[in-house]
Amino acid sequence: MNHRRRLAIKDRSEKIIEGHGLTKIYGTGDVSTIALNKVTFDIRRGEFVLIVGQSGSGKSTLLHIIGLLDKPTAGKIVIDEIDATYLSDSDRSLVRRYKIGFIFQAYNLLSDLTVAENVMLPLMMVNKGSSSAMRRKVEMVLEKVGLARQINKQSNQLSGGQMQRVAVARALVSRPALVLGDEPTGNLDSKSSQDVISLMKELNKELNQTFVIVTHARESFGIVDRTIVLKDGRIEKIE
Amino acid sequence: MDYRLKIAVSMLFKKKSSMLAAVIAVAIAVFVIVINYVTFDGVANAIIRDLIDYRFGHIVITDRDGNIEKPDRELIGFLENTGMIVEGATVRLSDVAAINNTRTPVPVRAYSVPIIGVLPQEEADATRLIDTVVQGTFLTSRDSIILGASVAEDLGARIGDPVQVKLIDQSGNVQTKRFTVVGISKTAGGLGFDTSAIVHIETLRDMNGKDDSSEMIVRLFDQRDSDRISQLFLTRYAGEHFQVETIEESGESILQGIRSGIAFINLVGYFGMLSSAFGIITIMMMIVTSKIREIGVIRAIGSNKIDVMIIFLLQGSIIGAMGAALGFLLGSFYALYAQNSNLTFGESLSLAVRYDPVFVANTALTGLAMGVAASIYPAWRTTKLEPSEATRY
Repeated sequence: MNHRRRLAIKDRSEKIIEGHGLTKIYGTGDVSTIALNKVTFDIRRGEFVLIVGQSGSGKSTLLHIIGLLDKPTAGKIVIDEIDATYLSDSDRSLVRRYKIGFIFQAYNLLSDLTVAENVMLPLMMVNKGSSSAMRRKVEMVLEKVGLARQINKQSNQLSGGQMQRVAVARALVSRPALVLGDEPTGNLDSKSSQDVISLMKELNKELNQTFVIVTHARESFGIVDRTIVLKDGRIEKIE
Repeated sequence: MDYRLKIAVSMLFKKKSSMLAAVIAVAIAVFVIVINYVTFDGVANAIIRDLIDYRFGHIVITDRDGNIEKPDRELIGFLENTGMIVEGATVRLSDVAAINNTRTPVPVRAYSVPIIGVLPQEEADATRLIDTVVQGTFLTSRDSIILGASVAEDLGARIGDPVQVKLIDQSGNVQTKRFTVVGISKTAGGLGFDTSAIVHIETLRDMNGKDDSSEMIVRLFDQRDSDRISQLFLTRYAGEHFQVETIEESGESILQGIRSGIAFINLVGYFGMLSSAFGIITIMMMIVTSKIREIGVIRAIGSNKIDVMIIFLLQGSIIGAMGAALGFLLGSFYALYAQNSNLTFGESLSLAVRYDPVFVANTALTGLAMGVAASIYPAWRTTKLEPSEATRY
């Protein structure tokens, strides 16, 4: 399969995300709502980008389209040179599996799994190496996020900040080119928020992974490469 | 371990009560079918056993033109000299009589009682009729009579009572003879002579003025020799009008009804399995509903719809396999217990159960298939979940 082969090729493009005229309309007829209205932008490899805006401005919708969790009603989305606009569900899953890591506001760990199993999940999906090799990678990434000692705990035994660190570890363990965060600090206290933000910025620099973060609290993130400001489904400005 | 199996197992075992309920539903479905089959197959086998023991032997020989007129000794001698095949052979003569209990001041009368003439010595080898005597003894003399339990009850007869037997002989005259009750015959399933009276065959012959017999009963060491003995007998008496029937043929009408009953009961069991399947569907739908967000996360990380479906199909397979294993153990335990304990229900005949592990295993496999089939719909439902919606659920 062409996509599979392309997905295996090392990341090489300068622009990792390209959105052209992205439009998303929910519902039909009189009850339709325009969540995104002809949004065009691009994000370059290794950037740390925030998407901000008021509630209902289309931030999460845009992030879901970038993360291939949702399809645009119109427009085109290109992820690492792959035009993902018309990909099948199966191929979109492959792109997510190999290219994208997600961090959610509500952590979204699998409560039935341990910390190690949660983090190992993306590696098991791509079937990278033996189980001992995968375990070593998991230990390394948990070490990086400061949770090496919690490795065998059930994920629901952790604090909110710890769970979000596990979510960060899970998003990073398979070294995806793109890490997407949907209000990743939204459920955390200020101390934990700062810890997670510092961690993401540190990893962004260290591993050169692209981070695209939707947030209400842009000031918490301090200086970032770029900030896309959305208003009523349109890009108001890019700072 | 494949990640889908890992997730399937983890999800399932964290919902222990739901999983247990589903596993028990499968196990009960398997168990009920095994109980039905074992019990009713045991009844059918017991009926065959009692028909062989009391009524027909393995082979019953009659004369197409009426009664058998060949001398008893010749026929029995021929059969018993066929080597170690025939365990015993005997003849019986059947008639109908009216019987009075003359002990009571006003004799109690029973009309139209089937009366059977037997050869006591030969019956011991060829049948288990002697074992049906629950009070008193078997025939001790030509003037002794054994009453079936129902006849004895009707007559108010006890051991030692004098009874008068009246029948019509071949010339149309009434013949009367006094007997002494020496035994009461009763069988658990009523397949013996509970509604008859038993006397010595020579006494009955004297009374009705005939020297023949109604049928000849042959008991074999091995039932599989039935056809061989039948052929030997028919070849030896090729010029006669003998009719030879094996137990399958002579008991066919009774067994046909029983087998239809078994098939119906099994059908009821399979309907029971169907209701268990609905139980599993409900439980699995509950699991799916409680895991919508997790399904969204799994999709977001990179699983496609088929992967998620596989997770839930695996859960159905695990439930089916565990339920099938439990059902197999319970079913085997019951079947072995029933086989080794000569199980009876109240005063019914004791079941002749044969433990058939292949049947129990096949039923368990059906339970496994049911578990998988019941998970198809819940698994398919997961494909309708959009990851963007599911992660926000």
